[in-house]
Formats: sequence, structure tokens, C-alpha cells
Amino acid sequence: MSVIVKGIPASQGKVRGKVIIVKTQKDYKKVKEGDILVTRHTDPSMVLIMQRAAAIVTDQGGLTSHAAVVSREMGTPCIVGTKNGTKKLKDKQVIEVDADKGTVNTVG
Amino acid sequence: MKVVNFYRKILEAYSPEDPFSYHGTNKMYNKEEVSRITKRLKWQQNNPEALREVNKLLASLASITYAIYNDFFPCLGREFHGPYDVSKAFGKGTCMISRDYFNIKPTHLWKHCKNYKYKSVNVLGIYRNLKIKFDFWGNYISLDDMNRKLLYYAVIVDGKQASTPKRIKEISEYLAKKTVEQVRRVDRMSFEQTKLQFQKMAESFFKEMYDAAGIDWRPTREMKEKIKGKKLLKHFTQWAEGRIITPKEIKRGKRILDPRINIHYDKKVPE
Repeated sequence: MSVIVKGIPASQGKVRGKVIIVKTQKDYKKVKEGDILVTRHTDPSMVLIMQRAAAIVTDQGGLTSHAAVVSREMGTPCIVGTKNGTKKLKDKQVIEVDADKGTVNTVG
Repeated sequence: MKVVNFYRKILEAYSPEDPFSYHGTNKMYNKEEVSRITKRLKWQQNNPEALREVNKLLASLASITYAIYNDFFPCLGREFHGPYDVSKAFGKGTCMISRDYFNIKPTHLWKHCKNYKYKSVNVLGIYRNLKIKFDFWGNYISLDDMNRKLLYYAVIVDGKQASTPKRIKEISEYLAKKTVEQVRRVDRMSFEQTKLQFQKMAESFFKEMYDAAGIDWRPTREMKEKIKGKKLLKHFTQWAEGRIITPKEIKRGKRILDPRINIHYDKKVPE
């Protein structure tokens, strides 16, 4: 296992799943239960897909950002402020999100 | 100094035990109130089905609040407070946390909110041996798995308890729907309309105090004229674009704000 991206651990936990990169509202429907939501930053309109996601990874934001606050409320693992998560991760890639350490790792 | 001391007195009135959250707490209830709450409510035991719905409700609440107010602040419709010692009622090492969304129907800011079904939702949780800290902005940080440490919960909606996961799900789904509508409403606003709305929001922070003093809290015509046709300051435009803060700005921020607050800048979660 190797580290693909690093960021600020905003809500703890470790989970594996399939990446879904969300860039616009048109991508929302791609996120299914248990997927890993990867996006530049979250906003309130993403509430339903955030509830489906097994983990959330954002390029921007800190510990008081929308993604961080909502993830902590749900108890969903979340890493924020990765800077380049949406570029380094690929759609449907299976990864491990270690939100205790703030790393997104390859699997296998 | 008079103004600073005035604000200090407000904080001390609201949270006498730890007004600046220096000790990591934010206590709004006194001991009698805590005792009354623990006795009055029908506490529901944590279980996987209920936890799933309570967590979704919390996400919906955070989202609708952010959509309405564009941020999370105690003066903007929500206050997280605690931890309250409830060991007499629930056993050694137990504490209560309140996530009080006291105004998710701010008709003074958005007229359409008058059609919203719910005004206030308070999600109370009883936890065992929970390590948690509150900061002076009303956020909390816990290094524990709060889901695992939750023993009981109670959801109060406009003063009435919502007891079943089905009812909680109904409220959560309604709020999520209203969130999406609100985001679309804000997206449709022009830049000038957005500036005026933000100005109104900022002036509303002390609405209750202004109302008590019989003063109109709303921005004056002069204040509105001041921002008409103007661009945002460069710094704030960059902030809005999600620029990563530089070390120089972190140093300046810590000089202006509470230097103990590392969580907004450092990559480590505080101990």
C-alpha cells in the first residue's frame, strides 16, 4: 500500500471503496451508497450524496469547512485540504481512506 | 475597551463557566437545567438503525444551516454546547452534548422561510468517556469515535420530541430537500443581490440586542449605498476561491485571533 494523496484528517475512520470524482451537479447521480466522494469542495446541495458516501475527500478546506463539519456530524471519515485529490485520484479507482492519518492509499 | 468589555460580559452571561472556551467547554445550561433535561426527556437507546437516521439528520441540519446562513456560527442559527456532566443520571463518565439548531427558519433573512415546517431542532446525546473539546467559535473536535460512544439520544423538534427513526428520517429528508432548493435560490441571485444579503446577515448578528433596545437592526440606506456597484476586496475574493492560507497569513491570523487556535491552520488535530 502506498500513499496517493495527503490532507488534513477532519473526521476520523478508515474505509475502502470506489472513487467517484464530483466536479459538477451532473456528477451527483454517479455517487452510490458506499462510494468515496472526491471533490474540490463540498456545498450544501451535496447533502444527499454526502449521506451516501462511505468517505469524503476534498481538495480545499480546513477543519471548519462544510465538508469537515458535516462529515463529523455523520461520523463519516473525511480528509480535507488535499490540494490535488481530484487530479491524482481516478474515477472508479478502489482506494483506502485513512482519515485517522489523513492519507488516501492504494489498495493491494 | 468599553466595547470589548461589553462583549466579554455577553459571553460571561451566556457561558459563565468557560466564556472563551479556554478549557475546551461551551456550557450554556446550568446544573439545574441539565438535571431537568435528563429527567424530562424520553431517552432513546443508540442502535444501528437509529444512529444512521440521527447522523443523516445531523448532516441535513448542518447543510440547511449552511445553505441559509452560508456559514456555521453560534449567532447564525446553531449552537453546539457541552459537555455536561450527567453521571448522576447515566453513570460514571457520562456527559451530554447538545447540537442546538435553534433557528433554521430565519424569516428576518429569507421571506420564503415562513413556509418551512420546522424552526428549531436540538439533537442531544449522552456519551460515555468521550474526549471532546469545544473552541471559541462553537466547533467541537473529538478524537473518539462518537458513534461508538453514544449511549442515548433525544431529538427535540420545535419543543416536541421525535421518538422514532421513521420520524427522524422524515424530518431529515425534508430538510435535505429544502437545502437543495435554497442552494439553487442563492445560485440564481445576482452579485449585487448576494452582497446585500450578506450585509443583512452580518447586521443580524445582534438582532436580539437591537430588538431589545428598540433599534432597527437592518442595514440603513447609507450602508447599502456604500457597497452598491463595488467589487469584493482582493483578499476576500481569493478566500472565496478557496486559496490555501500561507504561513505568513497563519502568523498574522494567530496574532489577531486566539493564538491557541491551531485547528484552523495546523494539519494535526489537537490533543
